[in-house]
Amino acid sequence: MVSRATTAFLLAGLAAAQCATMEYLSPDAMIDQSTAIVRAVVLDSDGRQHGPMVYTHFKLKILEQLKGAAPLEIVVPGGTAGSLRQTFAGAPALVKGSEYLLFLWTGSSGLTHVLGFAQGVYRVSVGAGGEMTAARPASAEVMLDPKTGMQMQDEPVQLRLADLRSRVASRASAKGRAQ
Amino acid sequence: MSRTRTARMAALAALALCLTTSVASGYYHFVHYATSDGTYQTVPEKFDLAALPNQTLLYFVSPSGPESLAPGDSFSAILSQIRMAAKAWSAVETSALRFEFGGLSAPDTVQTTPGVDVLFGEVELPPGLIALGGPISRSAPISNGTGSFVPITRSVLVLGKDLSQRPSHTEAFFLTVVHELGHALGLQHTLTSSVMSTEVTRSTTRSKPLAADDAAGISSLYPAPVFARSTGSIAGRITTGGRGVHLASVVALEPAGTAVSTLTDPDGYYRIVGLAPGQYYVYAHPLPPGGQSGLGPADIVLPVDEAGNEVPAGPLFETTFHPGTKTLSEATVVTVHAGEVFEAFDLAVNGRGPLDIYGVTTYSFPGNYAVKPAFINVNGPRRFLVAAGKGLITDNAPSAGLRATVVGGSATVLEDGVKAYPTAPSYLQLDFSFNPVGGEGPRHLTFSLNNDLYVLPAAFHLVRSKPPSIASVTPSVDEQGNATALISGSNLVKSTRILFDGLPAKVASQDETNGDLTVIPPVGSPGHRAVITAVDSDGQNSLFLDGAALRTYTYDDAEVPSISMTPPALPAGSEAMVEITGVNTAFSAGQTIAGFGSSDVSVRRLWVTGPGRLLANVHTSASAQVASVPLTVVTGFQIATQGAALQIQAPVPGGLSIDPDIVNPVTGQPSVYAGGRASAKIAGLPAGLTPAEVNLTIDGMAAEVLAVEEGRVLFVVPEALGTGPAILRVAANGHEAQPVVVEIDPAPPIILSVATRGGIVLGPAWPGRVGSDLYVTVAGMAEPEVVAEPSRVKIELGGVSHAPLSIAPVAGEQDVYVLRFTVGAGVQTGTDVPLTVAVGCRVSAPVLTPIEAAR
Repeated sequence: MVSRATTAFLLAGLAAAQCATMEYLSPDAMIDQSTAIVRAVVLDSDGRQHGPMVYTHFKLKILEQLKGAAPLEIVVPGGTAGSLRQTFAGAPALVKGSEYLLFLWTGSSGLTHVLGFAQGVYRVSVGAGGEMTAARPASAEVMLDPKTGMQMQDEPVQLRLADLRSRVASRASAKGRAQ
Repeated sequence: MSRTRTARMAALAALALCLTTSVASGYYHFVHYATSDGTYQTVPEKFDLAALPNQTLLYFVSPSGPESLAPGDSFSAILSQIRMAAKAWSAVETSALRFEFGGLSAPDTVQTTPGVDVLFGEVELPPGLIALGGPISRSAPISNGTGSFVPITRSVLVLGKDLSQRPSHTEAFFLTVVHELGHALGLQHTLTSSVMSTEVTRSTTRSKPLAADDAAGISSLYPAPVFARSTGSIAGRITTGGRGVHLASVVALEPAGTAVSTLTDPDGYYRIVGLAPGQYYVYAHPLPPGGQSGLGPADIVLPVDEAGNEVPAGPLFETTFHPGTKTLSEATVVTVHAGEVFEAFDLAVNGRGPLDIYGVTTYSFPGNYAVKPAFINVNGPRRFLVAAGKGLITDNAPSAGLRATVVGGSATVLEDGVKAYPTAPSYLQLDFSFNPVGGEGPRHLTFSLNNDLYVLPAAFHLVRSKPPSIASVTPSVDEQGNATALISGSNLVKSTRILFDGLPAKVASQDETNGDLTVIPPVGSPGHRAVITAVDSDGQNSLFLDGAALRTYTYDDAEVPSISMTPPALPAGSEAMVEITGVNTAFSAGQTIAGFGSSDVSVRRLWVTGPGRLLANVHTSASAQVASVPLTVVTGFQIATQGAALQIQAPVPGGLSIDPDIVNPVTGQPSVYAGGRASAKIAGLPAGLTPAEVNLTIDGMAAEVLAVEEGRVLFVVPEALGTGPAILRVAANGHEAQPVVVEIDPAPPIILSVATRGGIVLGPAWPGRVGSDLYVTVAGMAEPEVVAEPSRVKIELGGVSHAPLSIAPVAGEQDVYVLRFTVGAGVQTGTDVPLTVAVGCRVSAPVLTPIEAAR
């Protein structure tokens, strides 16, 4: 289902530092830790200030709901609110009118975020045979292995939506059996 | 052999031009473009130093701290790392910005002065996102004496509420904070192996957290006067097919040293600033792709135009060295001089498709752990590094035609030294031979493949010894009863620094037989456990070998410290002394800092008068809102707080306010002494006051007021005063100003004679000469430590500042020294060239010296 390779060295306490420091989430972790997975088109966006942060709110038109309750609005750190502009290098960039597969997470604040910054944003395309695929490039940001806390190399990810649907269903089923 | 082209004549010819021509300079800031007459002007986002007291930006740390910590970790330890990370930026000499602790945050307080907030759980981070940092700016640019810029009003650094997987003692945590604070100050990512680089090229360490590129980046944003004087620049245009390339990264690369870069504007123009005098290659390379389609290349936040629209990057192109080659032996070598600019260093590049190579990271193995970036010991058995990156390996073998070359000598990639790393063949191994007399330090690598060239500045560090290692840490007590710690291990040398979490310990002594160090731990908090790390000046540290086998020091249990402060209230827009009293505290000069949690209240200066008493001058902003703010005093790891310690009140109309930075009117320096004259700036003085109408005392002694004019009071410092902090009070016109603390210094040094090497005192018949050594005999230095720290002394001769080559005490004389220096180029010549000696801000009276040109 997922074409992915990762390599990690055990580092002697050395790792990179970035504008955003990210923890690598495996595809199964993305499925498990997301509160919603949707295929959606971005309708509109606007920036709002929340305490010390400016978030860009994106309104979505949900095309497909693969997991959880589909939110109509998500937030991404940074943006312009009135005369204030806040910038975070590496923050996901969503373009109005474009279609995405989004791994989402709703926190206690009630805001719905993209899971793992750019890790949770996939562009959707349709192949010659009509098969839908979603892809994201390797992140240029720091990725830390959640098991070791050490830095690791990210690589591009490409997945077939049909496989993802099956995987989401099987993870949900396994979780249900475990409970 | 390099084709060295001396472009000095061109530089000099261009110098006058550059003084009047504004060429867009991007560095890697958050950039807005303004257009004028069809050309782009770069408008960066930055803090307005003029709006900051003492040009000092304060950062505030949320007292909530993280919810989850790594085993043994603590808030005090995290704070120590944050403080050291901020200090790295504040210590850049060519930058005017000072960046200091402002206390634990005052919650729910309206703040009008810009500042930086370090947050934990206050900002929600979704799974997969660990830390975040960035500036908030006003959309509209403003202009002042330093040009147009978009003011940053506030910045945030979010570290998240869960640090259980990120122990604060690691270099990873420290460099993350340094990097995120860099963003908070207005810097973006670079690709030049600096702390602001992406993981691809980052090559800095705890020992040297900032690279030359970082210093240039912060200094070009907040230039100190010395920046332009001490560094040079290279400017030009990058074109492909005759059209300028936007966001080309242009790098000045010392063959065996630093790398400093910038980005081109939409017309392809660039200006690399902040270059230390030396020889450089210049090359341009395209930025690698971003982490998501739609993001800027290399995850750069794209510049925006006047309408707020992003300006996209130009086309990809082939990495090319000036004057248009991919071969180092054909590349131009530019000699950069301080204060000079090379203009028209243009470069035409060829467009190309997707990049074959990028994202190269290097590792080495000094022990059982991989170290990144690679450190290679030229005297060790493991003379190789391992690299990972796009395009290096295909099917577990080096990509066909891949070549790797070291720039600048000292090391050479062996003929058969490019291979798959046997242990993990998806990685590339490079084997080296070394020049036995070659130098140490960072070395650059070039990779070439399919006519593509990739340059990795500071790809690895050459060292000549093993990393330090700590075998044990043994608490002890010295003869005076002070706590000490014996650090035993290997490869501990004289220059090794011992860190307790983020704080350096003072080295008391070293055992010459085994290198063991006895250190005085920083002041601790009760039961605090500090992780001990040994750091060498070559960048290596004890985690290289010791890895997860942590050595720790646990402080004794003790009573919890508490503090209280008077006065409890100050009006907005005031300068005032406060007295802080501590119980169970261990205030210590050099270790104690304090803040009020609000950027509208700043501690200008602090004096430790005892382990339980502090004096501080506090500034409240005129725009500060009425509020109660907390006081935080940090000494080493000891944190003491007083909630609602200070009530900010409404401004007092007609009140007097003393600027505590009183100056010596003779030298203009902020250094006054008993018996000397001093000038104090006092806001609120009515016009027309006579000296007799101003009552001024220092430590209760009346001072003779000589003049009152233009808001300043000129007075004589009472002769009976000793040195050290003293309390200055002023009353006039029925008002009494809040008292402030002033520092009474020793009298300035006195120049006794200036002589040649042969001991001949200079005179009309025997002038000094440019390029020759002179010997200045000085009395009253008052600081014996200058012998070991000559950098505190400056000799000003004929408009040029000189550092003494040596300082030696005169035998049999009390506080008399001989300073040796070489008369520098640029010194004015003549029969009466003024010479002064300064120890810190204490400047001697000038002596007139005959100086003639070099023969």
